Amino acid sequence: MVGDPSLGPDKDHAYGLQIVRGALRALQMPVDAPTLFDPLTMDVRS
Amino acid sequence: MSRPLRVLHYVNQFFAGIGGEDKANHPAEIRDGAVGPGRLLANLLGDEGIVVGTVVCGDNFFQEQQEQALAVVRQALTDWTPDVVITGPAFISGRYGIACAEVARTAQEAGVPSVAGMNAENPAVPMYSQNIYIVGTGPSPASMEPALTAMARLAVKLGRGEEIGPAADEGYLPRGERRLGYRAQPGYLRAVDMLVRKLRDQPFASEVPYQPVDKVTPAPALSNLAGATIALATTGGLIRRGNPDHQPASNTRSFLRIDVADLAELSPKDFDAYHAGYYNAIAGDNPNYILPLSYVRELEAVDEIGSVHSTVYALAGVSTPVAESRRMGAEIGAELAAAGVDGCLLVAT
Repeated sequence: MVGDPSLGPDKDHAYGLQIVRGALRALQMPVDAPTLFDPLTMDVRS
Repeated sequence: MSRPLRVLHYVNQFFAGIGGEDKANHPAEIRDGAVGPGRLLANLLGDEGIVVGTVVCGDNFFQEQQEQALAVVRQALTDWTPDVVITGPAFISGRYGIACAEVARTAQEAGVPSVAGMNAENPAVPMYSQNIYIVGTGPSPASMEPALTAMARLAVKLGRGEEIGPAADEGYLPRGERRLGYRAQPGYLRAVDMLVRKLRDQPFASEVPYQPVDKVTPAPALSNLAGATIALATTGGLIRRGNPDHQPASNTRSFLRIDVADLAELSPKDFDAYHAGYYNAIAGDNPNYILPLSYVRELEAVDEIGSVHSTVYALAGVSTPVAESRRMGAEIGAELAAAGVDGCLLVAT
């Protein structure tokens, strides 16, 4: 789910955009093993 | 004859007859006696056991309020003092499977033997099969009776403290446990027998099953996002409003291609969500939650990405066998590669 309607329109939009940007950031990162990207913190764990 | 075993059963809101996804937030509660499939379970137990109580809980409630749900389970264990706990069967349902496994694990931790039932492809199996007894079932409730029959048989043995044999004999999924024992024939004779059967194209079962692990080579990182073509795919069950393509809500064997070249976002007037694994109303009101076209258009407009691929891919990702998922994934991947797409965002639910 890209977003969270319980946040209200503005925060929901910001949250959804953050998730999409996090996913696009993941596409730009070289990985060689299963890797977890947290869209909220932008933490990366492999 | 021994006294009948006291059996505590666990079912979700659907099998308790409360409702489907719209009732998935139903709080955990304890009911007297058998509920839903528990009545068939009671018949199958016969003189061996009595379903004294049932814990009922909505699938979403269990996932979101797990401690609260498990507190109700612990209360039921205290109130009913069962000899054995039976959960499910959950078949292929992921959230229900995890709930069944957690309840079985909780009972076991409290000193009460337990049996869960679910399909071998249920996501809960790799998470829990080494720690609890899980009886393998078919993928759907069509296999309810054989599933409950096997679960009841194993539950009676566990409840009576009888020795439990190998997985293949008892009907539970392998737990990765090895025990010393004796075979009627030495290993070299069994191996030759297997070889002969293999050479004659006859069925045989290896004593050392091989389960290859999927290995996927990661794609290289995108070096120029601002020049990249990005595609979108979703397993959230995106459909055209009215479902003219007749996409199923589960056990999907085909995916949908939708042309979004002229769309700035997905409007609920034109699109909807149809997925058996979650409450669809929110995504139905705003389909961009399951396929974020509006967001990538926003980023396309400010040149954060090069362009959005004109075709999006959609299916309901629930209950589809792994082999089918792999086939569809390969087909989508081949199409994206042929179209020169640089990266794809896949939204799961």
